[in-house]
Amino acid sequence: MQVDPRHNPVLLARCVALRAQSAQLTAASVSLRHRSRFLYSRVKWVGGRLNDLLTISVFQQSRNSQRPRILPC
Amino acid sequence: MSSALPYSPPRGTVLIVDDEAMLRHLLARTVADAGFDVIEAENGEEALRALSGCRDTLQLVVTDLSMPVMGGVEFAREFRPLCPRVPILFITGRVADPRASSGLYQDDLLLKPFGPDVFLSTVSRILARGPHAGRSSA
Repeated sequence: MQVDPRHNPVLLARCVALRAQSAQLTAASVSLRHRSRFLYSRVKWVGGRLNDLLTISVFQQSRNSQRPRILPC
Repeated sequence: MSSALPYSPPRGTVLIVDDEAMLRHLLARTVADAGFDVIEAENGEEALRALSGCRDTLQLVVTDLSMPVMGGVEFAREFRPLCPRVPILFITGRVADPRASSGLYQDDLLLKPFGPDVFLSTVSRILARGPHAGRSSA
C-alpha cells in the first residue's frame, strides 16, 4: 500500500526537511569539488616551481664546481 | 698583444623558451658554452616573434610546457607548420605527461629537475638524429 506523504503532515515535514538537506549537501559537494580542483591545480603549480628551483640549483652547483677557487692568502 | 682565442663557428641557433628567467639564462649559457647561438623567450608568443630573426639557422627549440600567455603545447602547434624540420625538446616540472592529449609524442620530453650533463646529452642526441620532418612522415 502506497502512502502519499501529502496526506500525512509528519511525513510531509520529513520530506521537506530531507529535500532541504539534500540541496545543502549538493551545494556543499559542488563547493568541495571546486575547492579540491583549485587545490589540486595549486599543488601541481607548486610542484612545478619546486622542480624549476631544483633544476636551477643543480645547474648552479655544476657551474660553481667548475669555477676556479680563489684561495685565501 | 692580441689574444689568440681559438675560434669555432657557431653550430646553429637554439631557441630557449621558459618563463623562469633564472633557469632560462642557465640553460642558455649551457647551450652557448657548447658552441650554439642562443635566443631566449619567456613564453610561446615571444618565441614566435623571435623566430623571424633565426628561422634559417634554427637547430632546436627547448621549451617549457607551463607558461603564462602561451604554453609549450600551444607554441608547438603554431611553430610546427612554420619550421617543420626543427625538433622541439619539451621540459617540464609537472609529473603528468601533457603530450598524451596533444599528439606531440614525436617530440622529446625532459622532466625537471635535470642537470647540465643530462640536458646537453639530450640536446646532442636530438641533434644527432637529424631533422624532425623525416620522422613524422610515414
